[in-house]
Amino acid sequence: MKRISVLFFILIIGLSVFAQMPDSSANNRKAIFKLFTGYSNLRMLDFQVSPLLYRADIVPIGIGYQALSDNCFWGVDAELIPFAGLLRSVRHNQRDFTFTEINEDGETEDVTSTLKYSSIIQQNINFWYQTRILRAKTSKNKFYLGGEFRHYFNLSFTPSAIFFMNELSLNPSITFLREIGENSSIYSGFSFPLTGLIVRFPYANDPADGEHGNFAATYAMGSNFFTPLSFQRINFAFGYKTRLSQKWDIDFAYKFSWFNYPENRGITAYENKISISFNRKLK
Amino acid sequence: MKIKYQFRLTENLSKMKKQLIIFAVLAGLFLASCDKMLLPDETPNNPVNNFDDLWNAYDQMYGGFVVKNIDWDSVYTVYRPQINENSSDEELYLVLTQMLEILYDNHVYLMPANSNLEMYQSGILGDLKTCNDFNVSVVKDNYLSDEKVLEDAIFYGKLSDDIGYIYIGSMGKSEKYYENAMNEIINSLSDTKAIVVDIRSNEGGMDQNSVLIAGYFANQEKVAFSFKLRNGPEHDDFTPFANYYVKPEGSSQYLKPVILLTNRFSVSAAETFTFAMSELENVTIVGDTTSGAFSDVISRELPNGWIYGVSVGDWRNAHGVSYEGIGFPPDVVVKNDSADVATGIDKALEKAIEIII
Repeated sequence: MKRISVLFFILIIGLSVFAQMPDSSANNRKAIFKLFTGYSNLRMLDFQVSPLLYRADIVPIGIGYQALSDNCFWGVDAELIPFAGLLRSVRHNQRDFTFTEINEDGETEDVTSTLKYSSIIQQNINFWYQTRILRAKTSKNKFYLGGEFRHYFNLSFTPSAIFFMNELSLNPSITFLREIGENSSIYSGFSFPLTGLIVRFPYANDPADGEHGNFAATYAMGSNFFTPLSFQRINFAFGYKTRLSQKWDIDFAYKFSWFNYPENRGITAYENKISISFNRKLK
Repeated sequence: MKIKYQFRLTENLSKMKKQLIIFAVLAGLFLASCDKMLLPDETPNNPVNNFDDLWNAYDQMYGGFVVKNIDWDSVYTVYRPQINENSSDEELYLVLTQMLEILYDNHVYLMPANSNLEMYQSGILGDLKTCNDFNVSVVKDNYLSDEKVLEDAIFYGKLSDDIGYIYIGSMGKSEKYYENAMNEIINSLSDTKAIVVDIRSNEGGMDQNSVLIAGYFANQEKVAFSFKLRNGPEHDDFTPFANYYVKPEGSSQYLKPVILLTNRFSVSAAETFTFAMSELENVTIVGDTTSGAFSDVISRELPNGWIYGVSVGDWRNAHGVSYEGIGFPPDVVVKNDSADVATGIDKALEKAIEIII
């Protein structure tokens, strides 16, 4: 783990490979505070846990901060699930189980339990830095190139399975932005992870090492360094942003991500998300 | 100023209308299901796949093949031909449960969904079905005084002026709960000359809680038990053995004689608790053999939605001996029968008191 941590630290520093320092002569600097929400649909086949396809319907709420100038921008978004999303099997909408329990008096009791939805906890934290490339002062088209540090966390308990996925990754990223008139723009972005750390349950799906609690043992036993050969993900975003007032922008975005981690029977998932973001100019 | 911005907002929203519609249509198209293109196939739901999925899950994850000397491949050879694409749920259930019976493991179960088929449990608990040698009401009504209940997992009191009694029905609550409970109990019963700890019909829970509770009766750190987990597809692919330790817990420990009562319904973490207690010199185990399901268990599901349990490890006592499928034997064997329980007699508890006196 120590070696992985050192390597990871070096890689974070290496982010600058993808992102140059901002131009000190840049003008038109501004900072934005973002508040966003939306709807996300996750579809996931995690053969380590289940042969069944699961879907989750999630309403995230997030906050973000973004600093930008003509030549570069950086920011951080933290997407949280303040209330649990809903996860369910696509094939089995509702399942009823009857089982026998023995109480402390030694008597048997028939108990019926219904499995329909389970809660899912998801978290995305992205930190990115991009600098403008292919500069032409009069052009309405702007290209940005940079990097993104991403933390993705997904946990769901169902009576039959526990789904768990945690990703820390470094992603080269590119953004294209086209201005429409004075107040609006459309943009699209793309990123994929080059390397990072995946944390999953160990082979037996039982994080137990005799030393730590289950959560810490999961990280101790299930952390693996990855390359694009062992973990593949793509992230794509398309959006439209327009000014509402001097202080406020509104941003509509569609985001798509897909990932595949074939290790240990494998998980493949994709997520479609639409979001609306209210951006408040700070300075 | 405010009016100006409101006007601009209305104007901008009006301009946005067309772009918003295009955006919504595009997003809608993308949101349409792309499962076939982006995901591997979900395992089709048919009897053969259900059989294979269950057999494979045990083949790749079950921890007891080596220690129980089970040839799982030959099991496939016998049972797989009994299933075909047209097998009914009842036929599938019958074949699967016959196959799982070979494992003789209380952690192994099969729970059919949306069906009249009953939950299947392997091992001795599946054989016994009902616990007829113990009833807490007998203890409460006929033996215990000064009873105090600590939520639903623990109660304690006195069997006489100088004999304490603790009933632990589960190891599945939080560590904090057991810490608070044991601190209170040890403090309350410190003036007794001996304590009976009763884990009959204890449903199990977390191993961390087992060693934590045992630590209130320990005067030094010792290996409580060891375990290894499957970490590969071969039946002998395991992690290295790891140890759980029992060590003195709380501000004070109870180091006077302790009688531990067990029965066939002392399951899982109750059994690892028995492992830990058996290493302590002041502890004598009385009653019946434990159930014999020491390993951790995980739940999985079949393509048809049925849920089942797989024991994924190999648990040993501090001396490297496996009791999986066998159960940990008491030092003194005393078994109640249903007639004893019906007449309010608990012979095992009486034997414990006799040993103390």
